[in-house]
Amino acid sequence: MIDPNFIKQGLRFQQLPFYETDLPFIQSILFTMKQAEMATSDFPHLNAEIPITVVDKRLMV
Amino acid sequence: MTDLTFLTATELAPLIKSRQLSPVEITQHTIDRIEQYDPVLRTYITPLPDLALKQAKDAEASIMRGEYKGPLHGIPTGIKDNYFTKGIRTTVGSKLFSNYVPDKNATTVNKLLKSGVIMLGKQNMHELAAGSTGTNPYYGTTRNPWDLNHMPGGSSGGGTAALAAGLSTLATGTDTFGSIRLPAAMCGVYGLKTTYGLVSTHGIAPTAWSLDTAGPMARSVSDLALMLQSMAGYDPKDPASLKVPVPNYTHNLTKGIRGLKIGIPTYYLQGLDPDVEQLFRKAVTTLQTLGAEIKEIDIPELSMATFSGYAIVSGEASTFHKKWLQTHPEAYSPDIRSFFLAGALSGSTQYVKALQARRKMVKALRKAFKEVDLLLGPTIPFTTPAFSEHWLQQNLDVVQKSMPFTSPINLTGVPSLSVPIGLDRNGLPTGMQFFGKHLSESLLLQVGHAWEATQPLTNKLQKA
Repeated sequence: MIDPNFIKQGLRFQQLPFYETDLPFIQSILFTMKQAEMATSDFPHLNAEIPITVVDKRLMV
Repeated sequence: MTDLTFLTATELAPLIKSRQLSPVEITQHTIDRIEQYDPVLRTYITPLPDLALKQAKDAEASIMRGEYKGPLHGIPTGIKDNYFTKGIRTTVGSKLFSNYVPDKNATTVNKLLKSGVIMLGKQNMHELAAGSTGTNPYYGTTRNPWDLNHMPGGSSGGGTAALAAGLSTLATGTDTFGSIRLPAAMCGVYGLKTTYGLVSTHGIAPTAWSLDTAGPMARSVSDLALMLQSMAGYDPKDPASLKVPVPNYTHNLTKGIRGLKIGIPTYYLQGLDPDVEQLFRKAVTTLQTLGAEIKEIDIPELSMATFSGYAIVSGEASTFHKKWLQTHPEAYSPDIRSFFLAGALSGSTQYVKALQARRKMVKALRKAFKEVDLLLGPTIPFTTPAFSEHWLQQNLDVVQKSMPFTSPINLTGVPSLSVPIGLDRNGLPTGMQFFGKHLSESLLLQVGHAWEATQPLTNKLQKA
């Protein structure tokens, strides 16, 4: 499970609120994300991919 | 006298055009039903009966003058409450925006009004379009008309429940990680998640900019085509808007599916509820009977969708909401607040990695579409749940279970059509989704129309 102190300190650092009752929800979501991230290890060349970003061509050209 | 309640726009339009039916009559009929059933169903946050009747009278007068605008003229339509409506409260299903009155319409609202729809009201939605159950502690929880103890799905659950109960003929939705398709499946109606950028999102409250799409929901595929015809098209006010020609979406509807190659990613066959699996397999057999060539196909890259979906939705949503999370944290439900705060805690490296995974998934789908015309899978892997008293945790659970099935489509920007496939053991609808290349909406509608002709829910729509 995700360390509660990481969550508390991370939120405080960003001046975001922390409610003790939110803790299990946040832990659960971060844990889901962390577990799901493991699927990316099946693709060792993922870092060769350029991230998809929203680029407004009318501003860039 | 024909009961007007469940007639589609496609059926109503010729009656209205030929002046056999007045827009006032169908609008008043729908308003009466809203007044009768919506205190329980809670499909509308802000019903607009006076405005709707005024618009209906104007439509009637126009038609009597010979100024018929087309098949949407005079059709009662619900607008999801994250579409901005000028001078009309737009809550986004949130306490945060309980008094927000926009000074402009969303581009799509303008387009639909120009096509002559009657705006019945602002429809209920899951808070901030960031959840999937339809539970709403601020404006009332929408109930599934098929069984009031079950959820309608979300976030566009007000619209899909209204369609299923005959409280609107058409409805608008948005889809960031399944918000059109999931409630369409749960309520037994049709929902189209459009190609990213095909329909303007200008004037729609953002959930996650790089995934947000707007699209139509209806009781028939031909109605989706009529709505999309009005909603699609380039909008200079939307940086993501595609400058592409808009085809005639009704043109190919009756072409059938004989000879089409449809792939089922094996990824979409994992972890299915037995009822979903049985209904899906039966649907596949029916599609084969109609002449489609169907084969299973391996797209391993889709396994990254859950991570990518969580990282991008929560990351972008937390960015948009950061100021309000700091100043008004109590204005969020704990599940939504936690979802967004988790996004603030996930690092930028995770976000960028998720964007790299997106590119990988787009490439994988492009490769798949060289082999097949369309892909197909269940819309969601589970049957429509009953409401739980632990609704906060239930929403997070439903998001977690549906994200692997819905988010690949958003992450790759392709269109997807959810259609009903039958009823589960509890009598609740379930659905499957076709998805195709970017801008393949015409083909999806063609296939959906052929599927609809098999009458997957004939005689089963609840006459509430």
